[in-house]
Amino acid sequence: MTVKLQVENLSLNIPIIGPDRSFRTSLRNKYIGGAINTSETSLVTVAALTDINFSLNSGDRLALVGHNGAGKTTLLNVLAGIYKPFKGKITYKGKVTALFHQAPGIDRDDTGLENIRTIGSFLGMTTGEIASKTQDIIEFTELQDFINLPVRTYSSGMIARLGFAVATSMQPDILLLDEGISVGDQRFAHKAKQRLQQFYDTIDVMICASHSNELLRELCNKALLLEHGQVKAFGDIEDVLNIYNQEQIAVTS
Amino acid sequence: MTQDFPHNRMPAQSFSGVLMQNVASESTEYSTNRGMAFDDIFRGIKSYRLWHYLAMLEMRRRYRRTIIGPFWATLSIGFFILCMGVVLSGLWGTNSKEFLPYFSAGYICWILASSLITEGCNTFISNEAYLKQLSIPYILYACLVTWRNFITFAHHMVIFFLVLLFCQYPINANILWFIPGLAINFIAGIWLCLLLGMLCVRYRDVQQIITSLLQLAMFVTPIMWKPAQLGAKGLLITKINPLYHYISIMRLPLLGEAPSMETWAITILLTCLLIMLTFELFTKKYRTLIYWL
Repeated sequence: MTVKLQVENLSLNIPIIGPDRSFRTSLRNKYIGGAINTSETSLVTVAALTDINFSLNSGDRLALVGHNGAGKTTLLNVLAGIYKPFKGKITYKGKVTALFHQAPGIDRDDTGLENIRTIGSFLGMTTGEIASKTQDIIEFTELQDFINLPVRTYSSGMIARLGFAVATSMQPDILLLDEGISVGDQRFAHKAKQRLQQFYDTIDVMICASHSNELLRELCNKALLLEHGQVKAFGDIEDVLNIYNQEQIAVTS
Repeated sequence: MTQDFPHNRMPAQSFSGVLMQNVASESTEYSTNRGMAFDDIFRGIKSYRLWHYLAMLEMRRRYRRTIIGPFWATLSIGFFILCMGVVLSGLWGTNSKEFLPYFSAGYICWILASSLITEGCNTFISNEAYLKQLSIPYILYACLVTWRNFITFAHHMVIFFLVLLFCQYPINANILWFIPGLAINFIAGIWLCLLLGMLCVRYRDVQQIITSLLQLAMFVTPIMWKPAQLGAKGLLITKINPLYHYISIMRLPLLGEAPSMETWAITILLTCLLIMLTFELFTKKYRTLIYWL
């Protein structure tokens, strides 16, 4: 078993910048300075993540659990390379793709075909990859001639299908998910489930943040419990979910 | 100008494997901000296909369902050049057939420079949605803004050639100097967009300052008038105004003159300085940039 993703001592403080910390304040601090402003020179930061350590092997599916504001999405953003950590080390093996929005960059005035290209390139597919997948996407979505019409003429189900088909046609090694992938259209639920299963099977390592324990149980085999940006528990999904549920009971009672 | 954040002084360990969704990434180690910044620039410039695609996408969105698309801007500039050209040549008492080529070339180059500056301020602000969703090198956004403005510039060049035809202005081999002039402006444009983008995203006031200064700059840069008309004062203005030099390396070749060695030296030197300054700032604030949005 090879380590595909390793996170060591990861810490993240998000600086808060508001209108009061503008040019004026900076200038004042620089030229007026003095004892009164000393507290203002240090920036307000929020400790979003503190000292996170874990590693994932090939075949691992990690669930991120925790209350609102525990740092699940922040951690996903760091892993996706959107947030740059100030401290710590992340090592990847393979291609990482984040799927936080099902259809990033979708444009209602472009045709379905053009949108396949746009969404595909936003999801990190190469032009060749997109070209080779296009026929398969069109067939799956059953859009037929609609594919050459602007997306604004589509029903919401058709748009969902298009986004779903493009997203599930990529082949990343490490996939980051926020709240899973929705299947969309009822009529397509069965067909889509099949495709989704095939898609998940090709992925080496997956990390998924969600509030739905059912979804996480279905998708994942490991779990990481976050609390105030710190790792509370890491291990088998059932064990971690038990700890999490007990905590919730303790809080409510 | 920028505030030093306490956490920047923290001994940064290493952050490795900046993932790129467009370039499949094997894990690479970067121990410093400098390494990360270098990597960003290298990968960003390398994915020219993506910035070309994104620039075209933005152009398509802007002129959606119009028949002549970006030529609308060209048309309005053309009309401005025609009317102002006639008025100004009357004011200066010159032949409009002589003045129009000078004015049109200068004005089109000015539009490029000024739109680069104003849009450069929005490099990161207007791409917030992408920045918060995708891990794309930061410099790619600067490339994309610059490239889009150069595409628009190419559309505007139609006006200049129409003016040439109309005025029967001769073209000579000096027009070849236009190519290095354009290249210098392109390189400077990318770094300027990166610099202004960073400044404006951190200090939202900067954009206001720049917009108001730019209005003034249009009048103190010799576009509607020739430097010779101001005598000694004109010479001084042209010497200290960097915009004049950047415009000159494109305008003079178009008009069949070779720019002076001095102008080349100034633009190249300024561009190098700009790159060094921007790179320093970019390196220092690489990790913080995303939190400014």
